[in-house]
Amino acid sequence: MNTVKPQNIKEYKNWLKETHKIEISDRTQTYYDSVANTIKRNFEKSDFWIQLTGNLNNYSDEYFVKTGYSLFMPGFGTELNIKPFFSFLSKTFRKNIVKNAYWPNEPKDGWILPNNWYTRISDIVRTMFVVKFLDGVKFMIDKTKSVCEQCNIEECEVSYEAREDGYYAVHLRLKNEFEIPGITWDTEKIDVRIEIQITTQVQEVIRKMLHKYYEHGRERMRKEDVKWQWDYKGNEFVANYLGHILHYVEGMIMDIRKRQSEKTL
Amino acid sequence: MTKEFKLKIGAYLQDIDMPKIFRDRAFKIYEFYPEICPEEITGVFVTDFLNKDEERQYENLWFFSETFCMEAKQFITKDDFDITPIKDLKRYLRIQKKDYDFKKATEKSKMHMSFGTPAGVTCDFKASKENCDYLKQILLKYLMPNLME
Repeated sequence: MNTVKPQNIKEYKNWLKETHKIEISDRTQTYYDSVANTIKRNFEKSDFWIQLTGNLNNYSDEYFVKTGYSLFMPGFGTELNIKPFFSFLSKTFRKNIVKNAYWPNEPKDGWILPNNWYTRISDIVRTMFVVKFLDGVKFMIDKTKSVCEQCNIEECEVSYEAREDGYYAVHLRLKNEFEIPGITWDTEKIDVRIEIQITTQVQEVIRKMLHKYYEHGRERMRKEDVKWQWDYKGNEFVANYLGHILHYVEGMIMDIRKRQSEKTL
Repeated sequence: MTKEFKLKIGAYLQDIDMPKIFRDRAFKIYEFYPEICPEEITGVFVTDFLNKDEERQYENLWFFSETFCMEAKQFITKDDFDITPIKDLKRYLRIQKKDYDFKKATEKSKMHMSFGTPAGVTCDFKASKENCDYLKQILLKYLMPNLME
Protein backbone atom coordinates (compact mmCIF):
# COMPACT_ATOMS: atom_id res chain seq x y z
CA MET A 1 0.00 0.00 0.00
CA ASN A 2 1.23 3.46 -0.93
CA THR A 3 1.38 5.33 2.40
CA VAL A 4 2.83 8.56 1.05
CA LYS A 5 0.03 11.09 1.46
CA PRO A 6 -0.77 13.01 -1.74
CA GLN A 7 -0.25 16.73 -1.24
CA ASN A 8 -2.10 18.02 -4.29
CA ILE A 9 -4.39 16.94 -7.11
CA LYS A 10 -1.53 15.77 -9.33
CA GLU A 11 -0.22 13.48 -6.61
CA TYR A 12 -3.78 12.39 -5.85
CA LYS A 13 -4.28 11.27 -9.44
CA ASN A 14 -1.05 9.27 -9.22
CA TRP A 15 -2.22 7.76 -5.96
CA LEU A 16 -5.54 6.74 -7.54
CA LYS A 17 -3.64 5.06 -10.37
CA GLU A 18 -1.10 3.27 -8.20
CA THR A 19 -3.37 2.27 -5.34
CA HIS A 20 -6.73 1.71 -7.00
CA LYS A 21 -5.80 1.24 -10.67
CA ILE A 22 -7.97 4.25 -11.58
CA GLU A 23 -6.83 6.55 -14.33
CA ILE A 24 -8.26 10.07 -14.38
CA SER A 25 -8.24 11.14 -18.01
CA ASP A 26 -10.17 13.41 -20.34
CA ARG A 27 -12.66 10.57 -20.75
CA THR A 28 -13.29 10.56 -17.03
CA GLN A 29 -14.32 14.17 -17.31
CA THR A 30 -16.42 13.56 -20.40
CA TYR A 31 -18.24 10.74 -18.69
CA TYR A 32 -18.74 12.86 -15.57
CA ASP A 33 -20.26 15.63 -17.74
CA SER A 34 -22.56 13.10 -19.36
CA VAL A 35 -23.76 11.75 -16.01
CA ALA A 36 -24.11 15.17 -14.41
CA ASN A 37 -26.06 16.58 -17.34
CA THR A 38 -28.39 13.58 -17.30
CA ILE A 39 -29.05 14.03 -13.58
CA LYS A 40 -29.68 17.74 -14.04
CA ARG A 41 -32.05 17.24 -16.98
CA ASN A 42 -34.07 14.63 -15.11
CA PHE A 43 -34.23 16.65 -11.93
CA GLU A 44 -35.45 19.69 -13.87
CA LYS A 45 -38.39 17.61 -15.09
CA SER A 46 -39.19 16.22 -11.64
CA ASP A 47 -42.44 16.98 -9.82
CA PHE A 48 -40.45 18.27 -6.88
CA TRP A 49 -38.52 20.90 -8.86
CA ILE A 50 -41.52 22.01 -10.90
CA GLN A 51 -43.61 22.39 -7.78
CA LEU A 52 -40.95 24.14 -5.72
CA THR A 53 -40.01 26.67 -8.39
CA GLY A 54 -43.65 27.18 -9.32
CA ASN A 55 -44.45 28.13 -5.73
CA LEU A 56 -41.70 30.72 -5.25
CA ASN A 57 -43.91 33.73 -5.94
CA ASN A 58 -46.44 32.44 -3.44
CA TYR A 59 -43.72 31.96 -0.85
CA SER A 60 -42.54 35.48 -1.47
CA ASP A 61 -46.05 36.85 -0.97
CA GLU A 62 -46.54 34.82 2.18
CA TYR A 63 -43.28 36.05 3.67
CA PHE A 64 -44.16 39.65 2.80
CA VAL A 65 -47.52 39.37 4.51
CA LYS A 66 -45.83 37.88 7.55
CA THR A 67 -42.88 40.27 7.85
CA GLY A 68 -43.42 43.27 5.59
CA TYR A 69 -40.16 42.51 3.81
CA SER A 70 -39.22 40.82 0.56
CA LEU A 71 -38.06 37.24 0.77
CA PHE A 72 -35.75 37.31 -2.22
CA MET A 73 -33.59 39.87 -3.96
CA PRO A 74 -35.11 41.56 -7.02
CA GLY A 75 -34.44 39.57 -10.16
CA PHE A 76 -33.90 36.37 -8.20
CA GLY A 77 -33.99 33.30 -10.39
CA THR A 78 -33.49 29.62 -9.79
CA GLU A 79 -30.86 27.77 -11.71
CA LEU A 80 -29.57 24.26 -11.37
CA ASN A 81 -25.81 24.16 -11.63
CA ILE A 82 -23.42 21.32 -12.25
CA LYS A 83 -20.31 21.10 -10.14
CA PRO A 84 -17.30 21.43 -12.46
CA PHE A 85 -15.29 18.25 -12.80
CA PHE A 86 -12.19 19.74 -11.20
CA SER A 87 -14.19 20.79 -8.12
CA PHE A 88 -15.76 17.35 -8.00
CA LEU A 89 -12.40 15.62 -8.14
CA SER A 90 -11.03 18.04 -5.55
CA LYS A 91 -13.87 17.11 -3.24
CA THR A 92 -13.02 13.42 -3.52
CA PHE A 93 -9.40 14.36 -2.78
CA ARG A 94 -10.45 16.19 0.38
CA LYS A 95 -12.63 13.30 1.57
CA ASN A 96 -10.24 10.50 0.66
CA ILE A 97 -7.04 12.21 1.71
CA VAL A 98 -7.04 15.66 3.35
CA LYS A 99 -9.81 15.03 5.85
CA ASN A 100 -9.31 11.27 6.14
CA ALA A 101 -8.56 10.69 9.81
CA TYR A 102 -7.87 7.01 9.13
CA TRP A 103 -5.14 7.53 6.53
CA PRO A 104 -3.51 5.45 5.06
CA ASN A 105 -6.58 3.29 5.57
CA GLU A 106 -9.91 4.09 3.97
CA PRO A 107 -12.17 6.74 5.52
CA LYS A 108 -14.90 5.64 7.93
CA ASP A 109 -17.46 5.10 5.13
CA GLY A 110 -14.96 3.69 2.65
CA TRP A 111 -13.01 5.12 -0.27
CA ILE A 112 -14.85 7.41 -2.67
CA LEU A 113 -14.10 5.99 -6.09
CA PRO A 114 -15.71 5.95 -9.54
CA ASN A 115 -17.90 2.96 -8.65
CA ASN A 116 -19.67 4.96 -5.94
CA TRP A 117 -18.67 8.59 -6.24
CA TYR A 118 -21.81 9.80 -7.98
CA THR A 119 -23.77 8.58 -4.97
CA ARG A 120 -21.27 9.66 -2.33
CA ILE A 121 -20.69 13.24 -3.51
CA SER A 122 -23.86 15.14 -2.80
CA ASP A 123 -23.63 18.36 -4.77
CA ILE A 124 -22.94 17.32 -8.33
CA VAL A 125 -26.18 19.12 -9.16
CA ARG A 126 -27.07 21.97 -6.90
CA THR A 127 -28.89 25.21 -6.65
CA MET A 128 -28.90 28.16 -4.32
CA PHE A 129 -31.71 30.19 -2.89
CA VAL A 130 -30.55 33.59 -1.71
CA VAL A 131 -32.82 35.28 0.76
CA LYS A 132 -32.59 38.81 2.05
CA PHE A 133 -32.84 38.16 5.75
CA LEU A 134 -31.70 35.49 8.16
CA ASP A 135 -35.23 34.34 9.02
CA GLY A 136 -35.85 33.76 5.32
CA VAL A 137 -33.50 30.79 5.56
CA LYS A 138 -35.72 28.90 8.02
CA PHE A 139 -38.78 29.96 6.06
CA MET A 140 -37.40 28.39 2.87
CA ILE A 141 -36.23 25.27 4.68
CA ASP A 142 -39.79 24.65 5.90
CA LYS A 143 -41.26 25.26 2.45
CA THR A 144 -38.76 22.97 0.77
CA LYS A 145 -39.35 20.19 3.30
CA SER A 146 -43.06 20.53 2.75
CA VAL A 147 -42.66 20.03 -1.01
CA CYS A 148 -40.37 17.06 -0.32
CA GLU A 149 -43.15 15.42 1.67
CA GLN A 150 -45.76 16.13 -0.96
CA CYS A 151 -43.55 14.68 -3.69
CA ASN A 152 -42.49 11.65 -1.66
CA ILE A 153 -38.81 12.51 -1.73
CA GLU A 154 -37.17 9.62 0.04
CA GLU A 155 -34.74 11.63 2.11
CA CYS A 156 -34.33 15.32 2.83
CA GLU A 157 -31.37 15.94 5.07
CA VAL A 158 -30.89 19.43 6.48
CA SER A 159 -27.47 20.61 7.53
CA TYR A 160 -26.91 23.97 9.18
CA GLU A 161 -23.40 24.83 8.09
CA ALA A 162 -21.49 27.05 10.48
CA ARG A 163 -17.86 26.48 9.69
CA GLU A 164 -14.71 27.66 11.29
CA ASP A 165 -13.80 29.43 8.07
CA GLY A 166 -16.80 31.76 8.35
CA TYR A 167 -19.05 29.92 5.92
CA TYR A 168 -22.73 30.07 6.92
CA ALA A 169 -25.46 28.46 4.86
CA VAL A 170 -28.03 25.70 5.09
CA HIS A 171 -27.66 22.69 2.84
CA LEU A 172 -30.61 20.48 2.07
CA ARG A 173 -29.69 17.19 0.44
CA LEU A 174 -32.50 15.44 -1.35
CA LYS A 175 -31.99 11.79 -2.19
CA ASN A 176 -33.57 10.57 -5.39
CA GLU A 177 -33.04 7.74 -7.80
CA PHE A 178 -31.68 8.64 -11.23
CA GLU A 179 -30.95 6.61 -14.30
CA ILE A 180 -27.49 7.48 -15.56
CA PRO A 181 -25.63 6.36 -18.68
CA GLY A 182 -23.14 3.54 -18.26
CA ILE A 183 -19.62 3.54 -19.65
CA THR A 184 -20.52 1.37 -22.65
CA TRP A 185 -24.19 1.33 -23.65
CA ASP A 186 -26.23 0.40 -20.59
CA THR A 187 -27.80 2.62 -18.01
CA GLU A 188 -27.97 2.10 -14.29
CA LYS A 189 -30.14 3.45 -11.54
CA ILE A 190 -28.34 5.02 -8.64
CA ASP A 191 -29.24 7.19 -5.68
CA VAL A 192 -28.02 10.73 -6.09
CA ARG A 193 -28.29 13.59 -3.66
CA ILE A 194 -29.22 16.99 -5.07
CA GLU A 195 -28.10 19.89 -2.95
CA ILE A 196 -30.18 22.97 -2.31
CA GLN A 197 -28.18 25.68 -0.57
CA ILE A 198 -29.96 28.47 1.22
CA THR A 199 -28.04 31.51 2.28
CA THR A 200 -28.44 35.23 2.78
CA GLN A 201 -27.58 37.93 0.28
CA VAL A 202 -24.71 39.21 2.38
CA GLN A 203 -23.16 35.77 2.75
CA GLU A 204 -23.58 35.15 -0.94
CA VAL A 205 -21.73 38.33 -1.90
CA ILE A 206 -18.89 37.50 0.47
CA ARG A 207 -18.69 33.92 -0.73
CA LYS A 208 -18.35 35.00 -4.34
CA MET A 209 -15.65 37.49 -3.44
CA LEU A 210 -13.70 35.11 -1.26
CA HIS A 211 -14.34 31.89 -3.13
CA LYS A 212 -10.73 31.57 -4.20
CA TYR A 213 -9.55 31.82 -0.57
CA TYR A 214 -11.99 29.12 0.55
CA GLU A 215 -10.99 26.72 -2.23
CA HIS A 216 -7.27 27.19 -1.70
CA GLY A 217 -7.61 26.81 2.05
CA ARG A 218 -9.53 23.54 1.69
CA GLU A 219 -6.91 21.78 -0.34
CA ARG A 220 -3.80 23.05 1.35
CA MET A 221 -2.24 20.61 3.74
CA ARG A 222 -1.92 22.90 6.75
CA LYS A 223 1.15 22.67 8.96
CA GLU A 224 0.13 21.38 12.36
CA ASP A 225 1.63 24.26 14.33
CA VAL A 226 0.03 27.11 12.33
CA LYS A 227 -3.48 28.24 13.16
CA TRP A 228 -5.06 30.75 10.79
CA GLN A 229 -6.63 32.54 13.78
CA TRP A 230 -3.14 33.77 14.74
CA ASP A 231 -1.87 34.43 11.24
CA TYR A 232 -3.26 37.96 10.93
CA LYS A 233 -1.22 38.60 7.79
CA GLY A 234 -2.76 35.63 6.01
CA ASN A 235 -5.68 35.68 3.58
CA GLU A 236 -7.64 33.26 5.72
CA PHE A 237 -7.62 35.59 8.70
CA VAL A 238 -9.37 38.35 6.73
CA ALA A 239 -11.71 36.09 4.80
CA ASN A 240 -12.79 33.84 7.66
CA TYR A 241 -13.40 36.53 10.24
CA LEU A 242 -15.31 38.59 7.70
CA GLY A 243 -17.69 35.66 7.26
CA HIS A 244 -18.23 35.38 11.01
CA ILE A 245 -18.67 39.11 11.54
CA LEU A 246 -21.24 39.36 8.77
CA HIS A 247 -23.24 36.48 10.16
CA TYR A 248 -23.32 38.28 13.50
CA VAL A 249 -24.38 41.52 11.77
CA GLU A 250 -27.22 39.68 10.06
CA GLY A 251 -28.41 38.45 13.42
CA MET A 252 -28.34 42.04 14.68
CA ILE A 253 -30.34 43.17 11.66
CA MET A 254 -33.02 40.66 12.63
CA ASP A 255 -33.05 42.11 16.12
CA ILE A 256 -33.45 45.65 14.76
CA ARG A 257 -36.23 44.50 12.49
CA LYS A 258 -38.01 42.93 15.41
CA ARG A 259 -37.68 46.06 17.51
CA GLN A 260 -38.97 48.22 14.67
CA SER A 261 -41.90 45.94 14.25
CA GLU A 262 -42.69 46.10 17.97
CA LYS A 263 -42.38 49.89 17.90
CA THR A 264 -44.85 50.03 15.02
CA LEU A 265 -47.31 47.98 17.00
CA MET B 1 -20.24 23.59 -45.99
CA THR B 2 -21.79 21.69 -48.83
CA LYS B 3 -25.47 21.38 -49.50
CA GLU B 4 -24.94 17.71 -50.16
CA PHE B 5 -23.37 17.12 -46.77
CA LYS B 6 -26.10 19.07 -45.04
CA LEU B 7 -28.65 16.78 -46.66
CA LYS B 8 -26.60 13.83 -45.47
CA ILE B 9 -26.61 15.18 -41.90
CA GLY B 10 -30.38 15.71 -42.04
CA ALA B 11 -31.04 12.21 -43.34
CA TYR B 12 -28.77 10.60 -40.74
CA LEU B 13 -30.27 12.52 -37.82
CA GLN B 14 -33.78 11.63 -38.89
CA ASP B 15 -32.77 8.01 -39.25
CA ILE B 16 -31.73 7.95 -35.61
CA ASP B 17 -35.07 9.53 -34.61
CA MET B 18 -33.64 12.85 -33.52
CA PRO B 19 -36.35 15.45 -32.77
CA LYS B 20 -36.30 18.56 -34.93
CA ILE B 21 -35.22 20.88 -32.14
CA PHE B 22 -32.09 18.78 -31.57
CA ARG B 23 -31.45 18.51 -35.31
CA ASP B 24 -31.56 22.32 -35.55
CA ARG B 25 -29.01 22.45 -32.77
CA ALA B 26 -26.77 19.99 -34.64
CA PHE B 27 -26.92 22.11 -37.79
CA LYS B 28 -26.02 25.18 -35.80
CA ILE B 29 -22.92 23.40 -34.50
CA TYR B 30 -22.05 22.23 -37.98
CA GLU B 31 -21.88 25.89 -39.04
CA PHE B 32 -19.16 26.45 -36.46
CA TYR B 33 -16.73 23.70 -37.31
CA PRO B 34 -15.71 24.74 -40.87
CA GLU B 35 -14.35 27.90 -39.19
CA ILE B 36 -11.67 25.87 -37.45
CA CYS B 37 -11.26 22.68 -39.43
CA PRO B 38 -8.77 23.07 -42.30
CA GLU B 39 -10.28 20.18 -44.23
CA GLU B 40 -13.67 19.52 -45.71
CA ILE B 41 -15.99 17.90 -43.18
CA THR B 42 -17.50 14.78 -44.65
CA GLY B 43 -18.58 12.62 -41.71
CA VAL B 44 -21.05 13.01 -38.87
CA PHE B 45 -21.99 10.83 -35.90
CA VAL B 46 -24.04 11.24 -32.73
CA THR B 47 -23.34 9.01 -29.74
CA ASP B 48 -26.50 7.62 -28.23
CA PHE B 49 -27.73 5.06 -25.75
CA LEU B 50 -31.11 3.72 -24.67
CA ASN B 51 -32.53 4.27 -21.21
CA LYS B 52 -34.54 1.65 -19.33
CA ASP B 53 -37.68 2.75 -21.18
CA GLU B 54 -35.88 2.15 -24.48
CA GLU B 55 -35.86 5.88 -25.22
CA ARG B 56 -32.92 7.24 -27.12
CA GLN B 57 -30.63 9.62 -25.28
CA TYR B 58 -28.25 11.71 -27.40
CA GLU B 59 -24.93 12.72 -25.98
CA ASN B 60 -22.11 14.00 -28.17
CA LEU B 61 -21.99 15.17 -31.77
CA TRP B 62 -18.95 14.25 -33.85
CA PHE B 63 -17.73 15.47 -37.18
CA PHE B 64 -14.96 13.94 -39.28
CA SER B 65 -12.69 15.09 -42.05
CA GLU B 66 -9.93 13.05 -43.64
CA THR B 67 -7.49 13.54 -40.77
CA PHE B 68 -9.44 15.31 -38.01
CA CYS B 69 -12.24 14.44 -35.67
CA MET B 70 -14.30 17.02 -33.83
CA GLU B 71 -16.48 16.56 -30.80
CA ALA B 72 -19.30 18.75 -29.50
CA LYS B 73 -19.80 17.39 -25.99
CA GLN B 74 -23.36 17.30 -24.63
CA PHE B 75 -24.23 19.21 -27.77
CA ILE B 76 -27.92 19.66 -26.94
CA THR B 77 -27.23 21.85 -23.93
CA LYS B 78 -23.63 23.01 -24.18
CA ASP B 79 -21.12 24.76 -26.46
CA ASP B 80 -18.10 22.64 -25.63
CA PHE B 81 -16.11 21.82 -28.75
CA ASP B 82 -12.81 20.24 -29.55
CA ILE B 83 -10.83 19.07 -32.55
CA THR B 84 -7.94 16.66 -32.77
CA PRO B 85 -5.95 14.93 -35.52
CA ILE B 86 -6.66 11.28 -36.21
CA LYS B 87 -3.86 10.78 -38.70
CA ASP B 88 -1.41 8.08 -37.67
CA LEU B 89 -3.47 6.66 -34.84
CA LYS B 90 -0.91 4.69 -32.93
CA ARG B 91 -2.87 3.59 -30.00
CA TYR B 92 -5.21 0.78 -29.42
CA LEU B 93 -8.76 0.85 -30.77
CA ARG B 94 -11.35 -1.08 -28.84
CA ILE B 95 -14.75 -2.28 -30.03
CA GLN B 96 -17.43 -3.86 -27.87
CA LYS B 97 -20.73 -4.93 -29.31
CA LYS B 98 -23.90 -6.72 -28.38
CA ASP B 99 -26.50 -8.31 -30.69
CA TYR B 100 -24.71 -6.84 -33.67
CA ASP B 101 -23.21 -9.02 -36.39
CA PHE B 102 -21.33 -6.07 -37.89
CA LYS B 103 -23.38 -6.45 -41.06
CA LYS B 104 -26.84 -5.11 -40.30
CA ALA B 105 -27.99 -3.62 -36.99
CA THR B 106 -31.23 -4.64 -35.33
CA GLU B 107 -33.41 -3.03 -32.70
CA LYS B 108 -31.34 -4.75 -30.04
CA SER B 109 -27.89 -3.85 -31.40
CA LYS B 110 -25.43 -1.93 -29.29
CA MET B 111 -21.84 -0.90 -29.88
CA HIS B 112 -19.12 0.90 -27.99
CA MET B 113 -15.84 1.99 -29.51
CA SER B 114 -12.88 3.86 -28.08
CA PHE B 115 -9.44 4.78 -29.34
CA GLY B 116 -6.52 7.04 -28.52
CA THR B 117 -5.26 9.80 -30.79
CA PRO B 118 -1.69 10.96 -31.33
CA ALA B 119 -2.48 13.96 -29.11
CA GLY B 120 -3.13 11.60 -26.21
CA VAL B 121 -6.88 12.15 -26.24
CA THR B 122 -9.26 9.20 -25.84
CA CYS B 123 -12.29 9.26 -28.10
CA ASP B 124 -15.35 7.35 -26.98
CA PHE B 125 -18.42 6.34 -28.99
CA LYS B 126 -21.70 4.66 -28.12
CA ALA B 127 -24.35 3.53 -30.57
CA SER B 128 -27.66 1.78 -30.36
CA LYS B 129 -29.92 0.19 -32.96
CA GLU B 130 -29.34 1.41 -36.52
CA ASN B 131 -26.76 3.88 -35.24
CA CYS B 132 -24.39 0.91 -34.94
CA ASP B 133 -24.23 0.71 -38.74
CA TYR B 134 -23.30 4.37 -38.88
CA LEU B 135 -20.59 3.88 -36.29
CA LYS B 136 -19.23 1.00 -38.31
CA GLN B 137 -19.03 3.30 -41.36
CA ILE B 138 -17.13 5.89 -39.32
CA LEU B 139 -14.73 3.20 -38.18
CA LEU B 140 -14.07 1.89 -41.68
CA LYS B 141 -13.92 5.23 -43.48
CA TYR B 142 -12.02 7.46 -41.05
CA LEU B 143 -10.30 5.38 -38.40
CA MET B 144 -9.02 2.22 -40.06
CA PRO B 145 -7.16 4.14 -42.80
CA ASN B 146 -5.46 6.17 -40.07
CA LEU B 147 -4.38 3.25 -37.93
CA MET B 148 -0.71 2.61 -38.24
CA GLU B 149 0.48 -0.91 -38.73
